[in-house]
Amino acid sequence: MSALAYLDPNRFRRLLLRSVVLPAVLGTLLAGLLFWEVRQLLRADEAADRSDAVLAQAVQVRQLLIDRETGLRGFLLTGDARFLEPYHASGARLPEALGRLESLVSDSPDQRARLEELHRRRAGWESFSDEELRSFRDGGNWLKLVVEGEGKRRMDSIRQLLDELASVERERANQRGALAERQARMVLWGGAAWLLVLGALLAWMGRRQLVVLSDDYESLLEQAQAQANALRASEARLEQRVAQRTQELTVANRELESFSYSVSHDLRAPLRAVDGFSQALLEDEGERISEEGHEHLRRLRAAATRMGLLIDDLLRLSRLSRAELRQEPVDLSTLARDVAEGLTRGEPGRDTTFDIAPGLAARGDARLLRVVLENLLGNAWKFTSQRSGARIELFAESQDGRPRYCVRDNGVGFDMAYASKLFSPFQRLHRPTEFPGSGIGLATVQRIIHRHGGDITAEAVPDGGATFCFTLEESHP
Amino acid sequence: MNGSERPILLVEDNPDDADLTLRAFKRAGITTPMDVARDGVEALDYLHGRGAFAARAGQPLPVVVLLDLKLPRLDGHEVLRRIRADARTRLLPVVILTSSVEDVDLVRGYGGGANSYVRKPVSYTEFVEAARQLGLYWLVLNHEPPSVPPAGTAG
Repeated sequence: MSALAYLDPNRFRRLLLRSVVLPAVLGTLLAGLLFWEVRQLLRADEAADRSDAVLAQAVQVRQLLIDRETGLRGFLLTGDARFLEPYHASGARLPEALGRLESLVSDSPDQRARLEELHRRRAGWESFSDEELRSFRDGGNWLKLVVEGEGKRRMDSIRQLLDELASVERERANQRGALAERQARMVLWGGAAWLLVLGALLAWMGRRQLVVLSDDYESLLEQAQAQANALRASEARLEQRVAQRTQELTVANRELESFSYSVSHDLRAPLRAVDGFSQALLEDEGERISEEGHEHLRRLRAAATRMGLLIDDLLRLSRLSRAELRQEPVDLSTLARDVAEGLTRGEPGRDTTFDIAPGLAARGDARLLRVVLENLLGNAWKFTSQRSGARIELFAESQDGRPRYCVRDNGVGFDMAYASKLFSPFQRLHRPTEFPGSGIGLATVQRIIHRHGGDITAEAVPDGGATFCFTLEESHP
Repeated sequence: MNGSERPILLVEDNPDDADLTLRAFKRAGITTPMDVARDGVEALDYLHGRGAFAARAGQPLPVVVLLDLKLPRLDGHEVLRRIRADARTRLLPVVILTSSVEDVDLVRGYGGGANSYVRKPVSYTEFVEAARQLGLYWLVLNHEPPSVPPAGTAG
């Protein structure tokens, strides 16, 4: 499992944006359309209001014209000047009323044209009625003018024009109203349809995004689950492997045990036979065997004895490797003094000084550390045997804050070129006739030191003494 | 008590070791007869007078059993266990005489009720000395438990 379960944040942002932006755009379009339609409706309403105003104004203008005509006619028929009052009053108000009408139809060219025509016709009627009044005042034949009906015709054409203007305006208002209504209906239905489509679109898109997200989520979940499974599987594999290794180790240990058991038991028996029967030969046939034969038999027995010792040492080494390691406070000084005493007792006549630093406290397996000191001090004792004024020291120094214990002697030493062989079993740097030993002591020492988690080093100069220093892993700081 | 006539039983599968042990005892001046069983089954047959040792039925038990541990068929520990489990042989002195000084064997040997545990030295000279001391100890110095009469015989 290489890639971890991972959701691309950009992809997620894009999805979110799409599901927000599209509905927003569509909604804005709908809002724009509705706004536009409301404006259209307002405009239609406005136009209808204006048409009403135009119609009302047209009625007023018409009334003023009628007032003017009836006022003039009444005056002409009666000669009463009171009849002229409405004639003058309406004459004074007419320009304003016409002006207002003109401003109301200013946006419509055909109505404006009609108004201009109206102005012209009215001007015609005004000049004719002025002529009638003049003729009446001058005592001319005004009646003829009236009877001929020229004034009435002119006024009728004006009214007809006004009627036409009103009817066009009414027609237009109707048309506008109908259009606005149609548009409103269209927008209403269109909006509803739009909303429906928008809703459907939103639902579809929402569903699609949800499906995509849920797919993503599911694939993520699957990935995570696969990873968890793989993790569990590898954990199980690891555990199985550990169990298998432990099993193998147990088997190997058991094999080793049975091996050393047979070594201790079976390898010794032939040696006993060699030694025993050599002795039997000496005892039974001793007189018939030559001097040389006696020497051969002696060597045979010495070799068998020596091999027995080697087997013992080998077994001790193997036992040390298998023995359980105890951790206890150990007083190395006391141990060393004990070992030194034993050595001195064994060879009382020797001129050798032991200089053991007091209070060397360590932590480890006392039994095994005793073996270490027995070997190191024993070696020092052995290799100083030909020295007068021999001196063997045990002291501690600090290395990286950890104590390092050293055994130093002024014995025969050894060539550092062979130092690497020192700690291998059966490796010897001296001839057995010079210094006896199986060559397994330092291998044993190193095994014990390593089992404590420490290390051992040696330094020497030929004929200048040797120093062996070791550390022990300490569990307390 | 006619101790000198009762034999010593040596349980040893290796003929070299058996011969050398016999010789060592002879050299040490021990005249007590020595019988040899070649494996654990033979040892038990000998003690109970059955199988190849049917002729020994009713004979008194040996003074002491010198028992090797590594044996064909039944090993020494098992032989010791059966000796101690049987009422007739329960108190029979048994000396383990073996090459092994493995802690396991020592613990199992003493745990199984061995009266002594002696390691066979490689050096024959030492072996003769060991045989001498063993003979002196078990035949002369040591007091046996009162003998249990063999089943079915009148003491």
